[in-house]
Amino acid sequence: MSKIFRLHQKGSENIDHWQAISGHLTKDHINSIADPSGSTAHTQITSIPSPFARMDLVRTAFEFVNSSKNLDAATIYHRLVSDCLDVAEIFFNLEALQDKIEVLQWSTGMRVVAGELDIDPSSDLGHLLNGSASAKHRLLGETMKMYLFQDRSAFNFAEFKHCYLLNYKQGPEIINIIGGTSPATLFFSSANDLSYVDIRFGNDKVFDDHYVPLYKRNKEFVKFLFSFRSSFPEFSVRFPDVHAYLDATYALLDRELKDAIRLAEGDVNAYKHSYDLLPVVAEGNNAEILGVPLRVKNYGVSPGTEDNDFVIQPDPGKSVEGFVPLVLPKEAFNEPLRYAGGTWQSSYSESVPYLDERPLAERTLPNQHHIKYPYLTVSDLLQPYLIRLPYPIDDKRFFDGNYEVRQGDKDHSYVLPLKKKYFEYFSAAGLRGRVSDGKKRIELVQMAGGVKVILRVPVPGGRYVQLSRLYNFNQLQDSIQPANEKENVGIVVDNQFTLAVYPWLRVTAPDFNPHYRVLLVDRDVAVATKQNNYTVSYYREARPFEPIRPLAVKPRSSKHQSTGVTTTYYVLEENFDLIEVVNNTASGMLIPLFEPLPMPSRAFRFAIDFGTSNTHIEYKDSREDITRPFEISEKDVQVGTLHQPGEATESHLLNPKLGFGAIALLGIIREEFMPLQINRGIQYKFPQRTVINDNGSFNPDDSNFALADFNIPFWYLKEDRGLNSEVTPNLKWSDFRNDKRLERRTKAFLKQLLLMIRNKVLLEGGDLAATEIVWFYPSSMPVFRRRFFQNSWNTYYQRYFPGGARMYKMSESFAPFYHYYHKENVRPHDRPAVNIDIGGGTTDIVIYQSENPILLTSFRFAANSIFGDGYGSTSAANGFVQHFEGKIKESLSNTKAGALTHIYDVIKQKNSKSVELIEFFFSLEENKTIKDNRIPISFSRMLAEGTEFKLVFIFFYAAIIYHIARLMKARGLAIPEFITFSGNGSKVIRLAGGGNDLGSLLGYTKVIFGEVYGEGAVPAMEFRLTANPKEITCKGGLECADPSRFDALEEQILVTLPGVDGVTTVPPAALKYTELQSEAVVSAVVGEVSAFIDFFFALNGRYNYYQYFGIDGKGFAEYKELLKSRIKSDLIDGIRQKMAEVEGNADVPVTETLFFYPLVGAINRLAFSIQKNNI
Amino acid sequence: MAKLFLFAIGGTGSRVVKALTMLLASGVEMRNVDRVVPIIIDPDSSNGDLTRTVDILKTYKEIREKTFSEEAGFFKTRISSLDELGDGGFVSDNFRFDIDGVKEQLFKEFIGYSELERNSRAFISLLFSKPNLDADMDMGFLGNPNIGSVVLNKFKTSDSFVKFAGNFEQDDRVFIISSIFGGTGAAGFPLILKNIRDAKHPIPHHSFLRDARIGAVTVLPYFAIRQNDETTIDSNRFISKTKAALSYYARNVSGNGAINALYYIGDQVTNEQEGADGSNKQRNRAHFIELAAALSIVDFMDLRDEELHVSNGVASDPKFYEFGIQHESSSIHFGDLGKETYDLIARPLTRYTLFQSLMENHYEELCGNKNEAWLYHGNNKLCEGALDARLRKSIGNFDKHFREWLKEMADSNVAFRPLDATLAGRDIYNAVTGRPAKKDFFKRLADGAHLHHYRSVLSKLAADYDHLDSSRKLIALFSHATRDIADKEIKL
Repeated sequence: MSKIFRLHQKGSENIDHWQAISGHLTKDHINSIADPSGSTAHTQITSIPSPFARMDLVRTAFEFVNSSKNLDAATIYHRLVSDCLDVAEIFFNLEALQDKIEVLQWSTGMRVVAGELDIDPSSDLGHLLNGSASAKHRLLGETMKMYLFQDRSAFNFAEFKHCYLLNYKQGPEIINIIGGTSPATLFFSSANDLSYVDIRFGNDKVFDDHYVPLYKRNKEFVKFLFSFRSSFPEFSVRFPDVHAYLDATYALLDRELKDAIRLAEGDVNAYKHSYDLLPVVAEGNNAEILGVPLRVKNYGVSPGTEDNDFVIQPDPGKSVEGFVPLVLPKEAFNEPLRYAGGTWQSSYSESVPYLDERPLAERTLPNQHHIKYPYLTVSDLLQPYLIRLPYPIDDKRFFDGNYEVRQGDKDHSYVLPLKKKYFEYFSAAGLRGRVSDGKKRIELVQMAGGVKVILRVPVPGGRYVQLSRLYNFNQLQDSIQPANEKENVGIVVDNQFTLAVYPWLRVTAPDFNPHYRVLLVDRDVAVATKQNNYTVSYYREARPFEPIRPLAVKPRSSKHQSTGVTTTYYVLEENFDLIEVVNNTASGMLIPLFEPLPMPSRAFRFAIDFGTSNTHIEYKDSREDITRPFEISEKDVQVGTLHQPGEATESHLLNPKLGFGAIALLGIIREEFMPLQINRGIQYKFPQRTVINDNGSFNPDDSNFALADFNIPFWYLKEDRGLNSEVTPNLKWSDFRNDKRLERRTKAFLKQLLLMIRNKVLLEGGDLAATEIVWFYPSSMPVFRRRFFQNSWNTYYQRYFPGGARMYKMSESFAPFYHYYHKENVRPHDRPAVNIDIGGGTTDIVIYQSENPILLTSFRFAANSIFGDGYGSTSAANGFVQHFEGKIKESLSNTKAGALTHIYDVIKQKNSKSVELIEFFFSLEENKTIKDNRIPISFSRMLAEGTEFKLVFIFFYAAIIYHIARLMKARGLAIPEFITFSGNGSKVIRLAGGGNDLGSLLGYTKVIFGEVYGEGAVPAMEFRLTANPKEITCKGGLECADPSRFDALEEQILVTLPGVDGVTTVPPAALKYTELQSEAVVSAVVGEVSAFIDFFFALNGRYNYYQYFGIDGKGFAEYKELLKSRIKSDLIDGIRQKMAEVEGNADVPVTETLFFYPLVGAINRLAFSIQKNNI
Repeated sequence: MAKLFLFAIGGTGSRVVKALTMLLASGVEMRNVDRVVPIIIDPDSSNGDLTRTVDILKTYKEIREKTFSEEAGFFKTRISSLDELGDGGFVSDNFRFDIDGVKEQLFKEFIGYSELERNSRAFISLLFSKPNLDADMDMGFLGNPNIGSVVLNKFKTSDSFVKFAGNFEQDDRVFIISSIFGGTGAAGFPLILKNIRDAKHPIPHHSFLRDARIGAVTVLPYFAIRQNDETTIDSNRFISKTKAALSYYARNVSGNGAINALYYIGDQVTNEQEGADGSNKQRNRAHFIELAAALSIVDFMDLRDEELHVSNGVASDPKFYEFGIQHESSSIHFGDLGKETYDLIARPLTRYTLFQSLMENHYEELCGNKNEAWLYHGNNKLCEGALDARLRKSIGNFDKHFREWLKEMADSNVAFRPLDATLAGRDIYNAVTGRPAKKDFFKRLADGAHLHHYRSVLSKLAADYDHLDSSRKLIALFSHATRDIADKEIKL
């Protein structure tokens, strides 16, 4: 048996000595060489004697693999092929791998000059060959050049212009080339250990020990290579080994992919159209292999998610634009879910970052860096900081994140540490729900050193991915530890703020125009947080990325000033579903839980008595017969607060650890915004003082908003508030011309009333458009002023009651009559009835016969004439103030209500008008503190029981009755059968009468009528005075079926007895304001008033004041003298004041008698005189 | 007459040249050449194989210079160093081509890697692995011919190459010896080949070079390295590397007409050599394969010029050869060889074995006997005092190498044991394994030993060469005497 010294198994078996064989050893021979170790060798082969050995080796590897007929083995050649395909796949996915890979270019400069191959000196190789290059470089260049030339046919070197190099930016060296393009096999890889390359395709990490044949790779990539082949001229000649490998691969593909490849093969433009050019170094310089553009995956095209089980499952109603992102488990997860063409491996979680700073659209998947596809990290959904609030959240109104206190007091809560991105995919309702296995979608778990927030994100198939972040308590005193999102370390920050949302209701009807006010109270005053500024943003769930533009944002108080809190008001006219609170460090989301409103099915009617001193609102359901004062009870609270309202929260806020004054968080809401309740059971209720509150420095030229710039201070005179309050009274009559602010304030008052009414209607199932509103005005109000109110009311009614057409105005005079007629059975069929409506500023008289008003008159002589400051006087000359101030303060100071004296001092300091001080005295008996402590103090009882000032009240009363009698007589009316009283000021009737027994006063009244009418026997007369006279106007207004008719009626029956004599009335006389200052008028009025004063004191003879009223007559002479002393100058003051009011509109008939002008001053002096006499 | 430029690359190249030298010394004839110019290329200058071969070549040259005559059978072919050619300008230390500036640096330093422009640096770092770049040039190329392809290319710019080119005449031939699986040889072979084919102005005689007749033997693996702590060479990968390199050759050497005649030889890896990363530790045992490879050179030179036509740098009819023997054996004797091989080497090797055996074992002793006719008769005596002492020393030295060579081949696997060079005295004719001297002769001289017969043959023929000086006479005498013995007594 012969022996041949060779390794291969092919060829002749008969060789003797050196014998010629048929040809050189070709791949058939080579492949037949048994390689006992080569198939498992891991070390790279370097035996090819060429600088381009690596390129050749890869080609050899393809050759070997092809001839082995087994694409799946684990030989070194399979490894080389696998690595080469890894390089190819990296190229294919370059766009997604830009953070890891950059492409460099090396140019050969290969060209043909005069039929000879040559190297362009400007190429990279040309540089090496350059004469100025070092000898070393020249040798290197010469060697490469020689091999390029000599081996050109085998390697296609003649057309090898560029090698594109993949530089892995995160590798161990400055340059880490992991592979490149090859003129022999399209691509080739580096021989280095590339285990540092952190790129995965499917389940396969590139360049690892697990070799993946092409047919097992990503289908898109497979298709791409086939497409590249189809578009490459003479591919099978240029790359015979790759060509054969592709053929072998094709046989193993699934039917679907085969079809796709076949179809693409038929389309000559498939490659060009389906893939992008790859610019290298500069735009326009596109990568090529042997002159054919190397294209790459077009990431603008959907990467497809059909093979991925980690695509989040957005909640119903959420439509995600673009790609629906993935959410990847960072925590132990071993379900074999499909992930990017492979299967999720539990080890993958390690590579899932907590934070990915790239924009979502720029992200590539962890473990699959070639796939540019959005995925969500825990930092996309959870905030770095978790805000702890110093009170329990109102979990009926705001979602508490399922936080349960396991240890310690329920004296705190957390703001949801969600980023708003969450809501691009998930709904608030979804967040509050549970995942398929019953666990909550979000949990805040109390831990020893912090809070763990768990978020469970649903993915299809009833599965979910759990994300969590541990928030550690801030360990620093004076600053906040930085959170580390990369390491998933959150920090709990303590912030003191709360929100109040008005109204706490939501109407979802599409054409509904919401009016929201949101108050943010910031009391971050600790060292670490005092620099905080807050921004609150509001979002619709449907558009969580686009904040709703508030109509206005109004700062009102500043914590850097004495208030200690910063308040900011957001005026919103859109519905919102989410609230985002952002301060200098932390952010969080709040989810309001509005409850569904009853269907609007009821029609309500409201009457608003906007009085000089007090305002009252009554309403009724149109189907019922009962009228009720406007109230907000605990069942229909209009304000929603972030904190749990109630005493428990208040006591938590008094905890010294929160710092002194945390309670201001709540207090400021009452002061600047709205109380939760307004009803008879508490001290916030109607009638309410007609005052408005603001910070005194608002800009009247800006848009101003009720419950933002302004609020009605229901606490006024009742509580010691006023941290940052300027309370303005006299809204009804204040002169806007000199101060625009006053107009703004007045309007704000009206607006808040309407807002409150509107929200009550909504909460009680009323129909806004069907809501009727009646408002009142005194007949004595000048037309232009009346018009101002009418415009205002109409405007706001239109705004807040869209579609409504039932806004009525009604003279204050008429309303009480309707009440008495319909409800109190006052039916003057025989003789007329007179209603005297005494308000703070005006007294309105209406006289009616049966149910028809027949005469109306109105004058500015009312409660304020008694308790006010006359013409230009002050509280220092006010008898009541001077008399009672000391007594009341002394009484108070010895009680638990002693602090109330502070309120008094503040009012007096800010506004020395006696009316306000007297109102304070009156309010005391209703004060909660007084009541709670059963302190026996009542200003009205003091007045009623004391006799000192009774003369003042009797004088006041007598003047009114005298005037009415004179007017009726002048108009030829009979002595009235009924006299009814209404208006808050009519309480002075009781003071005059001495309590509830008005018998004396009735008798006195009859005497006056008898005297005026000159009749000895005055017929029977009846008084009606109810316990709540202020409410009568409203109640009457609600009774009136058609208030609109009073407009005309008023004009018809308005009569003024100017006071120049006992006969002249306007009409028919036509005395105009322009004529008032004439001497004739003045002296006539002086005469009339003087006559009345004489008459008043003369009556003492007919109806003894001491006997009936307990008034000692010893000072009468002095008082009479006093009253008469300044009639003329008081009259002129009154006329001037009136003229100022009607300026520009003076050429109209007078609508107010001049009779009372001098009495305003006189009565003020009388009281002061009495007080001096009673010291 | 024509010259043969014999490029011997790397350790295998040295060993094949050694084998060739032994064959030429033994009298194996090489045709169509009057001068063999070995050029040993091995950057690892302290390589044991290299130094031994250089020593042998120098000794051969020295012996031939002193002993050549028309009658000489041993040391007949002229071996010259490059230095001796042309104007005689000194270029290298005899046979070895020294690559300047390779020592004591890393490959990356050799190519100025750090100073490369970024793009080129990136490209080079893809072509060459980090271990490649960090390879120490002192250690050869450690089985990385891709490095070698760059480093050895320094040859192209060397004075040696210029001298080679300048002395290359149209009829001269080139033969390249390399192994495919190592570092230096595998790289050097295509490189020298390409440089010759790529020769351009200003290289002298570049048109001759481009169309030169070039043969080569590429030695495929035939031994394995015994793994130890001193080597990074993993012979398990010899086959993998070979296959890869063969594939490269198929496309870029053998398949593209670059070569006229390519001789392939290798063997299943059964033989283990002690592994070493070059340097003087790399001194591998001689092997029959090397001898066979050396025969390819002889075979190449046997080809006629017209069979080796080259035009425009492309061989028109490249030839490829493989080597076989008649009988497979783990211990090869002459009888196992193919006929042609046998005819070529059996007699020369046997003759030289007889020569060296006598010189080594009996010469001094015989010199003590003044009656020893072949030593003391004639004008030019061959006894100790008459013979050039330096020549004697050289012959002794060469013979030692020869024995070593035979011994190593005998101890290798496959073992080549045609001769026992240690036999002396009465058994001296039994040196050829499996072919004892003829029996009747053996009987007849039962106690007289073969030596006696040997001496008589020498003495009988000595007078025929007395016209030669002592040195030449010695070689001529033994050439003929041993032929007679081999023919008649050993009956080869």
